[in-house]
Amino acid sequence: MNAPRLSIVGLNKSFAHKHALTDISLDIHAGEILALLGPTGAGKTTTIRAIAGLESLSSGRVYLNGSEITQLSPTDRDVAVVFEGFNLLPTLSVYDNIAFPLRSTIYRETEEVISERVNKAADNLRISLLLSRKVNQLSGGERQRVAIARALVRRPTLYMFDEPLSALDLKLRESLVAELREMQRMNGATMLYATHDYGSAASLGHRIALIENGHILQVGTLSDLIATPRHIGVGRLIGSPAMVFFDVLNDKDMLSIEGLPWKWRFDTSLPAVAGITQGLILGIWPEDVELEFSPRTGFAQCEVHATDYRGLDRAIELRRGTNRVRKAIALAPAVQRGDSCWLGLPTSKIFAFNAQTGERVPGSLTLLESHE
Amino acid sequence: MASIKLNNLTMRYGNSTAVNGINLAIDDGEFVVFLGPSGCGKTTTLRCIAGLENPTSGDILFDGVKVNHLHASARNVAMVFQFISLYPHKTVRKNIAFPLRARGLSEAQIVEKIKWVEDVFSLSEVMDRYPNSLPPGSRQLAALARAVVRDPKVLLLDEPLSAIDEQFREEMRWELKHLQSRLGVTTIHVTHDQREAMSLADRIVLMHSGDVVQIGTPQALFNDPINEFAAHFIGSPAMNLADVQVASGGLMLGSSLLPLGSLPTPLSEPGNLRLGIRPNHVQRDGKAGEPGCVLALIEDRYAIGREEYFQFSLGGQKFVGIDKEKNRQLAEVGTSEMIRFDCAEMRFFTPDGIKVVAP
Repeated sequence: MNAPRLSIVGLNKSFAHKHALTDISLDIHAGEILALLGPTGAGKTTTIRAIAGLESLSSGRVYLNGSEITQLSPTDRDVAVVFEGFNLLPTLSVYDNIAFPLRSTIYRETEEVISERVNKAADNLRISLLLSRKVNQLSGGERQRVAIARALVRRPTLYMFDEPLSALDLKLRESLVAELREMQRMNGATMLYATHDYGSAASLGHRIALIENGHILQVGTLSDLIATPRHIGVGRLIGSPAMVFFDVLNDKDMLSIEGLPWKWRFDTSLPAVAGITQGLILGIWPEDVELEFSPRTGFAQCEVHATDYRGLDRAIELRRGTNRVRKAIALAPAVQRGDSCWLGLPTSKIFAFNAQTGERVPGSLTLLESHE
Repeated sequence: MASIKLNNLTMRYGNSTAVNGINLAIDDGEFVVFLGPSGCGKTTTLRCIAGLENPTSGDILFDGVKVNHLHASARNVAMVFQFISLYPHKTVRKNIAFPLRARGLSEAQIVEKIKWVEDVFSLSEVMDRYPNSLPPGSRQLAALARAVVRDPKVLLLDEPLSAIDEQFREEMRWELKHLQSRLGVTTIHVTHDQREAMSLADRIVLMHSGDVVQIGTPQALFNDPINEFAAHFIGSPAMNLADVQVASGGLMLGSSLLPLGSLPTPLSEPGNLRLGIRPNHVQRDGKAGEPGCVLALIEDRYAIGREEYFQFSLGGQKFVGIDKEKNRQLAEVGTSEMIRFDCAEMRFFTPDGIKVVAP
């Protein structure tokens, strides 16, 4: 099997005494888009800068097409980066901005080749009509496309995007995500796309790598991440609404949730169960939460606390005691704040996480009683 | 609290018109969202209402009284910005007390007011902390609390949630909506995020290039967009929009005929139109010859969460559909499938994008 297009192994980076990156390892395969999803400050930009050679590392190795490039200077690495701030040259025309990397001493393409490539990239990104304009006459969305086109003309081994769209209007962001996806489908480029926006990551990434506090939590396709989340952070970062969590009260291996009528037995193969069940958090994807608008055996009565119209559907928040459940539901029947509804948690869909480390605790729940 | 009226509000900078003669009436206690892309004039309108800009012409009325000549500080409005403007060297409590002290309230009154916002905003755990030690969501809540503690007539929010990460933003939206209804303060919120607008607004004022495009409830804008701009801007994933030719028996998309049982009256004459249909009304369960059904080659498919999307082209124009049935076999790229467009959910626009009104 061929080596991955990009392989990073055990990247570590500290600023002062703070760990910015801890043991980051990732593979990206040829023709793949890997989305790097995490909150602001998680280490996304540092990871991209490290791959590009713009960041010195405490330890770790970077391989491109199987060859180590850890020690190469940024200009000797065949990667292109689009940053949030675009870094365009304001006094040059759109054409000259896009052509800029091809005219550098490394490439020195003929003007004929340059013209062909610039026109093709501009065509791809629908900015052909803007080629003679100055960059400072462009809107934010147009500038963004120019920056992407400039990255495209070089045909590097790997493209990296660092929150390239987060400064744009939401609507523009959606259409650029669709365009990037389409473009990648046509030319099979390999991409690393960093974002804090779940929607962009989910619609672009063939696989998603979740990053939090400088740690990779999990890497997988969206359906893998949903089927077997390995960390509580996966539940926080994936979905709209995200995973529903409950703090657990435990009595040895009996679990319950304060204010809710169920009691489960938790069996785990992990040693020192007693220690682990001291602090467990239960999680369930909102799509797996069951809801009825009339009483049903085994279900818990809750109050609708908020409703959120979203056009195609409605998200609601249920409350009972300190428990909160958010879930998207159909527009009909109409529900309002203050209405009652009945909540069911299918036992087989519940995940258990260690409250201290956030790690998933493998094991199985058995429903023992439901006193409501 | 106050009602707000804008009469022909216009704002020009040199030769460019930022706000082009806006007329608008906002009820007392209403939550209105100004929505539109960058440069549509939403923020300028808000700043005129706040008194931070002097309109070129037109009137601004609070409770029927013209306030154009009043300085911002005399209008009794509170404004919260995208970038959180709390004093970093003061605790949350002192930040909130600040506007009250500045107004010369007695200590007893201040204590009472602070207690009130502390309860309403559930801030008790953060009152004695410094802003920089708080997560962005709590910081923005504290900034809101400081804005409303002095009982403003009008609350103006300029993209207050856009600097907050997506995963907190959803929670903030729900919190903000709940708080506004509890406080009952007339609120204008500016955003480019249509989800935020749909979620928060009693009514949305959709703007584009300095003009008001459409005013209405979120449902009205979603279901009955007045033009193509509104159709495209509201709703995610975006509405499919395509050129069609009205022909006998249906609509032509390039060389494909999309049969319609009966042509809606405004379409009875041959001609070019724009068809709009939302992706959730495009399904893969069509039957040959039935109204709204047409054969198409599946070009791409992808999942977002548990939603399955598929993409195809007709007459060189792209369409996206969402599979509603969860357990059916996934669309296969490269195969042809019978697509069903829900005829009742089709929307039509003239070639220049104006809604075609049924007589």
